[in-house]
Amino acid sequence: MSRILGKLMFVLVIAAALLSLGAAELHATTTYIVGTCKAGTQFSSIQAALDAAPSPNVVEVCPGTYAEQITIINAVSIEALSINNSSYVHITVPSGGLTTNTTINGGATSAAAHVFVKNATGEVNLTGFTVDSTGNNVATGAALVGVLYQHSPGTVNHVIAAHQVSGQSTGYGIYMEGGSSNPSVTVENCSVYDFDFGGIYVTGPNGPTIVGPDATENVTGQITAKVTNNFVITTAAAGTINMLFGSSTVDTVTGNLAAGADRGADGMYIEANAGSTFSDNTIINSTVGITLLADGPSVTDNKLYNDGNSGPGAIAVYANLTTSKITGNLNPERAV
Amino acid sequence: MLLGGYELMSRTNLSLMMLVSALLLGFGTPTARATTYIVGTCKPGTQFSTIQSALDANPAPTVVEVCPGSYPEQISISKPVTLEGVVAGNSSFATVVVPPGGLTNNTTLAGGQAAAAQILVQNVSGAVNLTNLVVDATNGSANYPIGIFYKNTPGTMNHMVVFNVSGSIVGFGIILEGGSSDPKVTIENSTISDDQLGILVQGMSAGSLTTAIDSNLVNSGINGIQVTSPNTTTTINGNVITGFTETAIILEATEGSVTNNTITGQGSTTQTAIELGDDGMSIESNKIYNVGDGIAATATEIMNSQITGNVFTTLSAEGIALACSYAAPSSKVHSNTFVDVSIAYVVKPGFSISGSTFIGVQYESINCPI
Repeated sequence: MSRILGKLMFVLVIAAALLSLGAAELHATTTYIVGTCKAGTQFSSIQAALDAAPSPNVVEVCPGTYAEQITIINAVSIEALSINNSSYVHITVPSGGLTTNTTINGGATSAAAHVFVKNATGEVNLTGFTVDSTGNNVATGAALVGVLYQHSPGTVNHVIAAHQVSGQSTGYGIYMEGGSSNPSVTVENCSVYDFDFGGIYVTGPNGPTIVGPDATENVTGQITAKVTNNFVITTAAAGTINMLFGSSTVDTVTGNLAAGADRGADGMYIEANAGSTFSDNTIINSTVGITLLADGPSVTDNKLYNDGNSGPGAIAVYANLTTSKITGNLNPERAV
Repeated sequence: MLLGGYELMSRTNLSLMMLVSALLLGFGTPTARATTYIVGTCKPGTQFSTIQSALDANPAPTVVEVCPGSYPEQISISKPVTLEGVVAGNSSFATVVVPPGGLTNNTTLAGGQAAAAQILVQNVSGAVNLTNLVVDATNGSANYPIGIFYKNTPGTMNHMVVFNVSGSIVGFGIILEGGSSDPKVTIENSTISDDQLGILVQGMSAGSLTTAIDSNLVNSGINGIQVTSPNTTTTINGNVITGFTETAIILEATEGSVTNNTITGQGSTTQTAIELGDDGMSIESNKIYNVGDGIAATATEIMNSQITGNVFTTLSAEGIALACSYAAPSSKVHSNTFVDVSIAYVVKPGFSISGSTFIGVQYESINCPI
């Protein structure tokens, strides 16, 4: 009897050990450190950490300045560290400027993306750093993008995109472009400012495709985006757009502040699919607060202040609406 | 029998009560009935061509409805009334504009300076309510022009627009001044724009002033909202304040709160979102963007103001700079979020910054003075 029990115990111990090993393998996290502020496997650049083998799950970045153009192709979380009285992780332009590394708008426009997330199948999460594209020196005719997700899921949280000014009116702060896998993306708590074309863009794989009334490209969502609590401001002249949600996108957009300067920029362009909601956003000083170009999205409970210069004002609709709900928006009389 | 007697008495009492009630109602009706006048011709009724003539008519109106149009007047209100713009279809607002020749001085500021109020509401014991009106002070040409001046009077301003109040010394969009009747005043859902100072809450030693400033856009030239003591209790909630060159909110009082406001500037280091010139008012759950300093103390002692839950994004100078001599303890100032800020806290040595969130902050705290 005791022999049988002893064998049983042996089997259980082995099984437990195997289970333990399996669990360890399943949950192993490869974390790299960029900088020297924290113990671990250290690298001097973010790109070097991303390219290392084994591929990291987490890259923690010490406060400091990193002159890099970064490409991310695998699922990973890149997080700024707050250490020694600072959380200032500043990704700047490498000497010589940013090189053209992709195309946007369905291949129609070459682009230099400062932080480029390219066809990642798992989530790429970026947290807490500044992408400063000052001195970008992008090629003539190329778009400049601070953070570009192409056909990749993930979350951009507390990221600051600044100075995406190409000098050719082709600079975007954060650009999320979808694809056939219909990635889910989140942009939240970000600050986007000083760009010379677009602040936050969410588009299908063929770009905004905003060409006119009821110009919905298709009815299949090819990116699902949640855009919340961001701050987007431009001081640029007319022609810039703080936020754009193109066709083939399904969006939840709430709690954002989009501000222009002297009604120079447009607040929000919407050509998103049915099921998209735009609520509780504040839009100030835009040429047009909200431009709705497709039937389907709901536009509710937004605050629109001081919009409209010589144009249509707070909310302009260029679609035959049958299902869109436009209610509860506060639009006080423009003062001047 | 008892039951029957009780029923009889009850019916008698009921009839008596109904009679008395009818008599009371009969006497009460003439005084309770609203007297409504129309300014303009957009509605039937007793019509006037100016707002002031409607206000001065006998019997005094309880409601004055103003048709869409432009009214070059300087208005004085001395009795309780509701003055409201008629919004019909796509018609424009009823707009009070400056009369030919500009505004003339018709009142004084708390400091004794002669001032010209476009709408002056003065020493009214009952409520004066203003709704759906535009006050356009363009070409006001005075040292101290004022769009709307409530002196020692209660009431509510709702869906108002007050703009272009600019003086050769300083122009005020709206002034609320306290007094012996302890007035309570609300400004809500209004646009106060392109004035040198948007809203001034002026405390007086003669009595209290309770003010609610709620869900407005203040888009002003130099300073947005200024609150002074003594005897003021002010709540500033849910407003959007932008377009100022110096300070969005100046607090020189001890009672009240500043909550859930959105303040955005143009990134100038000389722009301050909230200036604490006195100790005591709480500052909570505000969102502050793109200014120089977030909250800056100019008072030498800040020990009691609760400063929590605020989010500071993209500041070119400091997030919260407390007084260096007597500064609030960490139990009062905590749980704030700083994103893209050069210096989050400027504090007395020993102040704990735990509980706050820092993103893209070069210096999470620096000991003062710097």
